Amino acid sequence: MNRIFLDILTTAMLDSCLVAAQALVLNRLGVPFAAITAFSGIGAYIAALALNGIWSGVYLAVLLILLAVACFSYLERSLPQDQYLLLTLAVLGILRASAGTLKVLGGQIGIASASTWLQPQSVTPYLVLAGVLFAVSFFVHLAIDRSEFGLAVSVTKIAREDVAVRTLVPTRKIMLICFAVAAALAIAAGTLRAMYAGRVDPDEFRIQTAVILLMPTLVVGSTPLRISFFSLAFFMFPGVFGILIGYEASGLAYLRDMTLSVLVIATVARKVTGGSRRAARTLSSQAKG
Amino acid sequence: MNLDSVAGGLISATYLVPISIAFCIAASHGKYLPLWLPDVGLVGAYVSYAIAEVMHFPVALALFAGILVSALVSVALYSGFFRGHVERAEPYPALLRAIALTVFIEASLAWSTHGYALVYQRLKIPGSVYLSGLGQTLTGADVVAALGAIIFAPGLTIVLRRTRVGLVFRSVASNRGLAWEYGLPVRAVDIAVLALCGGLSAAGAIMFAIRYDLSADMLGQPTMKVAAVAVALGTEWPGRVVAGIMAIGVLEAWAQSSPTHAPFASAIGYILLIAALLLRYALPKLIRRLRR
Repeated sequence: MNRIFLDILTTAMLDSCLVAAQALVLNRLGVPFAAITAFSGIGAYIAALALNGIWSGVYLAVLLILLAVACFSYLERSLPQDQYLLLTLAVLGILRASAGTLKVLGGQIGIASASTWLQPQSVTPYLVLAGVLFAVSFFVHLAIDRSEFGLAVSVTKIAREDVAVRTLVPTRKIMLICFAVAAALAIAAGTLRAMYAGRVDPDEFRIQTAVILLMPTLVVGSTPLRISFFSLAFFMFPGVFGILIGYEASGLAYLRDMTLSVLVIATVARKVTGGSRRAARTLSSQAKG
Repeated sequence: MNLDSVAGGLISATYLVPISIAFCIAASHGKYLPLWLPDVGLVGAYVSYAIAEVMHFPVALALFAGILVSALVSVALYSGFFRGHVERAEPYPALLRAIALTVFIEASLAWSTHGYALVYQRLKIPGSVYLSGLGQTLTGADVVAALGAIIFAPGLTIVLRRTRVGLVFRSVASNRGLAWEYGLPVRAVDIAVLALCGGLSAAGAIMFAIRYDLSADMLGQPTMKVAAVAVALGTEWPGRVVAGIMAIGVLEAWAQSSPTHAPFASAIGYILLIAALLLRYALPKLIRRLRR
């Protein structure tokens, strides 16, 4: 029984790291980015390729990550928000199709990512590693929340609507740093997930997974505690309650998704526009003063 | 590319025609991406299933009820959640709400059916013909879908471009405030458009379910494909989008005919979207910067 709970905790902590990484870009920067699973998927394939000794593939994947970070942060200003969000999901679709087509990645069946020195499904070492990554993602948000850099990130968010604000901080650099940090967290989570599961397949890039991940990201806002622990509860709920009350976990996952989507429908859409407008108004009134 | 794959691609693409037309009309009317609309059609398909297969009412009544429920739900959801965003021209929050609504509908349908797919028995259209020249077997549903595509796509284009009703629709879509000031019935147009789009989505979802069986996530990928093509080719041109869907259907069938390229078939629509967005937004900016 304990092993099952630890297994649920390990995977939930890794998934929470993805929410934390996405929240860094989506909630703090205000960039409509929904493809954090692209980075975690590439990270998973990097682990698999490295463990299989295909180093040329690893270098190509690293190059792909750098290209993706550069493109995502560059295109953010050029595209309308809704179309940018659609573009990020389309990138996931292309990555999934490519991973399914390439023979070196095992095609549709996938590729083994089992390590000899850190056996897949051995809960304790992975729980420790996942815990460390979870703590890192929490402290990243905490540091941003309490630092001058965090203030600059808030200003960068406002700069989307208020062009005058763009002169106050180097928005491009801040955006690039946030994307890089988010990508690094997601890659680390993806790598650990791949090694823990022992196998990677193109479903790492499923659009449906990204959409489900978007729901807690939109609800958690930008408070470090809420980001980390709400998302942890979100991912643990079906597994833990499934065991405790004897209801099927997939049914509980559907109930969880329904509840969270209702929360998003009811509050977040208003928060997205209301929040940034309020902040822009405050900043412009301060500038006038 | 052989004739078999072209025919197969065209046949499977015709099933998406009602959904793509509904998507384009609602998108050009509200200037946002109504990703929720196909899922409301899915609700209609489930209603039809319940009435025809569970309650054993007549098939015609089941189809009518499915389409009616979908139309009513579309109007209600638009009035409750999306009208404000449309009036304030906020496509991004509207898209977020649309995605959340999609998750809600799919999760609730999957929860109520325990995630299992349902099979239409009485709603299945009987009969099939083997066309030896094309190497394809046309089922009754294929024929209805093809006829629907042939009638709906040009028919709606003519209605939107050549009639007074179409002129009113285009006026409201292009500038709601001005249309209101000129005394056009904006609210009535909203209701009519959403009812039409909801009904069309239900028809599309029922046809889709007849071919692929009814499941909660059956429209997830097709919706993304329709959205990708609609954004790439312009939501204000339903005819062009339908042609794009057909062309992508053929390309997908061609890719699927080769075992090595089959998995890449699903990415064709997304490649089109990314190429269109880069050409429309990023490239002009880059060229301007290089000139400077």
